[in-house]
Amino acid sequence: MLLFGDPIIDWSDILKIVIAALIGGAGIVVIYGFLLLGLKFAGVGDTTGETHSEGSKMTGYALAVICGLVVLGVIAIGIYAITQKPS
Amino acid sequence: MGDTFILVVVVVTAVAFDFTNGFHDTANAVATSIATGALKPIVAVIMSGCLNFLGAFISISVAATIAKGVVDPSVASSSGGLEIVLAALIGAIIWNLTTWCLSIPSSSSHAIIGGLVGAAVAAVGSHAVSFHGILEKVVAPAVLAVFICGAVAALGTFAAYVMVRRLGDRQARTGYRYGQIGSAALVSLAHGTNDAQKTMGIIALALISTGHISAAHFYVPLWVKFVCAGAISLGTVTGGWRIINTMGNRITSIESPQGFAAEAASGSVILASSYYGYPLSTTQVVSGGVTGAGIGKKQPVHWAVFGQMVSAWILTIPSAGIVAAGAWEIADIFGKNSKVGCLVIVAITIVIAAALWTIAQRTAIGAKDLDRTNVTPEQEAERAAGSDTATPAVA
Repeated sequence: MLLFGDPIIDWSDILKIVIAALIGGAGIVVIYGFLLLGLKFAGVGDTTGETHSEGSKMTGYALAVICGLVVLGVIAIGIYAITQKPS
Repeated sequence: MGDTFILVVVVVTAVAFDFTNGFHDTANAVATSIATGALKPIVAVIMSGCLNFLGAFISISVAATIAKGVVDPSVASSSGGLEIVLAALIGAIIWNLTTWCLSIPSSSSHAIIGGLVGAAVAAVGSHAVSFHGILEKVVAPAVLAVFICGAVAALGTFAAYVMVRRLGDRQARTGYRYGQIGSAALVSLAHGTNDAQKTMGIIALALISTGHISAAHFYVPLWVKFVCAGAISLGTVTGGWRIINTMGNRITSIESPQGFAAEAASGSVILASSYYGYPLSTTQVVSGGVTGAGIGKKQPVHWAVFGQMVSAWILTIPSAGIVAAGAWEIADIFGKNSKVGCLVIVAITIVIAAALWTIAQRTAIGAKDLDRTNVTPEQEAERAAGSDTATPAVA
């Protein structure tokens, strides 16, 4: 976008913001969904009385832990970003 | 002595602005969590208030931008500089209270920037203001951020409902309610570091003008940090229920997966933009996120409410600027550095604030009106299946 011949938007920065927002915004929703899916496989919070095999439980817990770590990692990056605000 | 008296008036007014900033912007972090019943309203605002307090101490870069980047600090250092700062605060406070009274989420950040611009133009002239900087750093990112956040929230909502189908309604909705607590906490922290610092910047500008701080060796005194953090968190805990209702219930009907997607998108856009040097209005970003979450589920969005918000956003900078310019002109009648002039404009502000508060009480909304924690995930699903319009919880 131009105003009186001077660019007022740095589109490369905007593209980076869009990518970061897609990863942190939409990405975190998907990863968190997989965390919940892992907990479902592991039978956590299951009120239906359905039986879960040991393999399913282990896979579920592993998926939940990995996704949980990814979610925490993204939050840590977010807090780091707050502390690195340019002046 | 006169300068010290006016400085005290400016600091007290800045703290009052910070308080209005707190209760005006509480909705940004907690509206969707309250709307979906993830948190009790009182618990939500206390959590948000505490995180706003912590966030205020994380960095001072935004304070430096406000103190040095919007108007030339030499203007504040000139004779009558304190009146400029005071008039700017008054413009922002009156605009914040007006939009709060009308239940419209608007940007406190843009209000204070508009106030500074209006007061500086009235006092010194347009050369004191960096209009290109305002367009580059404030206006253009503000417009783009709403669309980016809306698109990301729409995509996130779509993805969340794909997961809901795999997980089953009850488990997904319960899980996303817990997720909302975390995302609301992150947005609260980001809000504290952004908005409390804006008031720190204003007080720092006043301290620069009286020679207590050098513009060349900028820092924010610890007492300023404590006062600003305390005021914004107290304002947050007070809870701007009217705006929480608009943001959480009147734009679109929000469910927990949508709330989580909207908050995650908002938090990401705010943090990514801040990292790349674009200080954004958290209000506008979150409003875009909530609207995008409605679009992502292909459910009706109350466009009339959204239109009111957009109108308020467009009007914020000029309106706060005009009020600030008017305040400066009134103070100037009594001469530069006049204690009487400052007291007169503060007294007028108190009268206007009291009038707006009285008007708002006719349609008062409280925490109890917004509490949805007794709504089970099943009831939430039924409500979502049955709702074909974005029905206000409290009109």
